[in-house]
Amino acid sequence: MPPDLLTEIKEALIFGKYDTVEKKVNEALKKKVPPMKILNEALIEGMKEVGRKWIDGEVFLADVMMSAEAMRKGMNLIEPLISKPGKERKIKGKVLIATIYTDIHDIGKKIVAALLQAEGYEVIDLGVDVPPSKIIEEALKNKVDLIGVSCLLTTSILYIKDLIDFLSTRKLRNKFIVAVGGAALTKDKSEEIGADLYAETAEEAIKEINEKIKEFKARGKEGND
Amino acid sequence: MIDPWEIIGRGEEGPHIPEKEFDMNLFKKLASLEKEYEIKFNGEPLLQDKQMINSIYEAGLELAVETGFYLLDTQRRILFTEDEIKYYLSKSKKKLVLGEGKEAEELVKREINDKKPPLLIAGMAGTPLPERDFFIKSAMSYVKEEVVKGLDHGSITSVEGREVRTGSPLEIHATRREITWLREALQRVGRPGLHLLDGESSITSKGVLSVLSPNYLRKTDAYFVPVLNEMKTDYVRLSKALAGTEYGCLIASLVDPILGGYSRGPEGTAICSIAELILSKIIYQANYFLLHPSDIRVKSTTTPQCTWVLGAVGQAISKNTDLLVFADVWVTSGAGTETVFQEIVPNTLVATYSSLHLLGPVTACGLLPNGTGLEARYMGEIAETTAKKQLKPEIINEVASRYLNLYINKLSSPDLGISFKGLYNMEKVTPRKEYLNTFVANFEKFKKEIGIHD
Ligand code: B12
Repeated sequence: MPPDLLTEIKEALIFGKYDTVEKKVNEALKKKVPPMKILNEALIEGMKEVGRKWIDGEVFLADVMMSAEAMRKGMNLIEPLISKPGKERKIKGKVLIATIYTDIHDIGKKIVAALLQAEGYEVIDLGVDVPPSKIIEEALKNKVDLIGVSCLLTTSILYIKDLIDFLSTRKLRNKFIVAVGGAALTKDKSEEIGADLYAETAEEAIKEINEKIKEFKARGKEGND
Repeated sequence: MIDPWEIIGRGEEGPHIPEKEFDMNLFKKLASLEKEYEIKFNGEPLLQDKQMINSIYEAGLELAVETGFYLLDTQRRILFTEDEIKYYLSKSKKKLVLGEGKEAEELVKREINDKKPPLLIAGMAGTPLPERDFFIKSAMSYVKEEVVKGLDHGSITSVEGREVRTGSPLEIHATRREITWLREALQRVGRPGLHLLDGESSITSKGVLSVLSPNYLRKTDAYFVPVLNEMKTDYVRLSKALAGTEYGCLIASLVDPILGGYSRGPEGTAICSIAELILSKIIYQANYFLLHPSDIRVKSTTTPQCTWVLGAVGQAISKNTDLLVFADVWVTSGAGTETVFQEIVPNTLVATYSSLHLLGPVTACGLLPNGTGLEARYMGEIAETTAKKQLKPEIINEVASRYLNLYINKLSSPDLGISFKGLYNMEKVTPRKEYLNTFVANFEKFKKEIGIHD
C-alpha cells in the first residue's frame, strides 16, 4: 500500500497537483509512512523528474512552479517531523537566491531556484529588487553556503559589486560562494566584480554550483580541522 | 476614456489575493481555456483557421474579465466587467499621428492581408550603447532609412565617465542625454519631426518623468510601459502611464508574455496576449501596443511558436478591435551575419499578413550593439513587398517554413555578428560595401522565394 501512495504523491507532484499532494502526504503520515521516506522517495524524486522535464523542454515554467508549490505544501507537513536533532534531512547545501536591487526581472532566477530545489538544495528565494545589505543579513541568518544573484540590467550590476565589497569589508567574503547570472552579465564581467561563479544558463548553473559547493564543503572541513 | 483615479481606486479596493495564488490560478485558467476553446498550435507559422482565431479572442476576453491585472504593491486585482471592457475598446481610435511636421505619419488600423504596408519603427531598442558618437551615428543609420517611420533606440549606461546606477540621479542625466542625442540624430539626417519611442535609459520611473518636457520628449513622441509577466502591473508602471497621459505624449503598452514561462505554450501565450492587450488599453490608457511574445530559452520572437502567436493574436485583435498593434520583432542573430536576414523573414511575413505594424528588428536580442539601419531596411522592404503583393496565406506558410528551417537549429547558439562600427563607415554613416552586398543578395533571394523575378 505505501509504495503506491508514494507513487501517487510523486505523480501528483510531477503534474503540479499541489492540493492532491497535500492530501496524500497527510494520508501517508496517518498511515505511519516515515516522513523521511515520503520526502526522499516521493517529493524529492518527483522534483528531480520535474527538473529533468524542464531541461528536456517537456514542461513550461508554469508547470515547474506548480510542482514547486506541491513540494512546498508537502514540506510544510513533513518539516516539523524531521527537524528534530539527529533527524534532519540530508541536503546538498543551502542556497539563497535573489534578483539584485532595482531589478525586477525574475524569470531566470525562478528557473535556477526550481532546478536547485530539484537537485536537493534547500533554496531561500528572497524575490526581486533586494538590497545588498538585506542579502547579507539573510545569508547570515540562514547560514547559507551560496548566494546566487540574478541581474538583467547593466546599470544594476554595480549593486552586485557593492554586495561583494560589503562582504569583503565585513570579513565575510569567505563565508559564502557568490554566484551570478542573468542576461546583463558575462563571464568577464563576473570576474571583474569578483564573483566566484558565473553561468549562462540554469543548466550550467546547476553543474557549476554542484562543483563549487562540493569544493567549498571540503575546504570548510579542512579549515575546521 | 476612463479617468486615472478610477484605475488607482480599483487597485486599492479590488479583491486581495496573495501573488502566488494569483499565479497558480492563472496557470490553471490558461490550461482550461486552451482546452475549452480548443486552441491548438499545429506547427504552421501562420494560423489560418478562422474559427480558432475567434476562439483565441473570446478566450482572451474571458481571461481579462476573470483575472484582471494584479497590482503588486497592493496585492489586489484591478477588475473590469465585460461590458466595461467592450465599452472602452469601442472607443479606440483607428488612427493616430506619430511624429510632427513633415515627418508626421498616420498610424492606421490594418486589416488582415491589408494592401497598406505596416508602419515600421526601428532601432536598437534598449540595448546599452557605448559613447556619444556611436550612439548618434547608429541612431542616424536607422533614421536614414526611408522605410523607418519612428525610432526606438538604445540606452546610455555611463555619463561623464561615470557608470550609471539604476535609480541614482545619473539615471535622469542618462535619459535626458539619450533624448537630446536622439533629437540631434534626427536633425542631422533632416528628419527632425520623426517619432521617437524612447526614454530607454529610464529603468525606474525617474528618467522618464524627467524627460516629459517639450525640450526632450514631445507630445508626438511615445515611451513604453510594460505589462509585468503575466497579467500584472505595479505603481512604477502605473506612474509612468499616468504621467505620460497627463503630459499628453503617447503611451505604448509593451505586452511581452514569455512563451514557455507563466503563459505556458503558444496557445496560452496567445490567450494571455489578448487579455494583456485589452486590459493595458484601459489600465495604461495606451495609444498603441507592442506585441512581443518571446521564447523563454532563446529569448527571441523568431521561433515557430512565437511566430504563430504573432499571427494568431494579430488576426484575432484586428477582427475584434481597433487597437493599433506592432509586432515587436527580436532576433537572436546580430548584424553582419547571413542568419540575421533569414531570421527576420518569418516574423515579418506573418505579422504583415496578420494586420500588425512592425517594430524592429532588435538584433542579438537587445544585448549587444550589433545592429544597423540595414536590417531595418530589409524588414521594411519585405513588409512592403508582402503587403503590396497580398501574398496568400499558403504562400506565407510555405516561405516562412523554408526560412525557419534555415535557422531553427542555430537559435540556441546564434551568430551574434559584429558591432555597428564594424559594418558602417562611421564618417559617412553608410553601410560598408560587403555588408550592403549581403543585404542585396538576401533581398533578391527573398523576392525569388515569393515568386518575383526581375
Ligand atoms: C521579460 C523581460 C522583461 C519583463 C520581466 C518580467 C519578469 N518577471 O522577469 C519586464 C517587461 C517586466 C521587463 C522590464 C524591463 N526590462 Co526587460 N527584458 C525582458 C527580456 C525580454 C527577457 C528576460 C527573460 O525573462 N528571459 C528569460 C530568462 C529565462 O532568461 P535569463 O533571465 O537570462 O535567465 C537565464 C540565465 O541568465 C541564467 N540565470 C538567471 N539568473 C541567474 C542567477 C544565477 C545565480 C545564475 C548562476 C544563473 C542565472 O539562468 C536562466 C535560465 O537559463 C530581456 C531580453 C533579453 N535578451 O534577456 C529584456 C531586458 C533584460 N530588459 C531590459 C530593460 C531595459 C527593461 C526595462 C528597463 C524596460 C523599461 N524601459 O521599462 C524594464 C526594467 C524594469 C526593472 N526595474 O527591472 C533590457 C536590459 C538592457 C541592459 N543590459 O541593461 C533587456 C536586455 C531588453 C532590452 N534590450 O531592452 N523586462
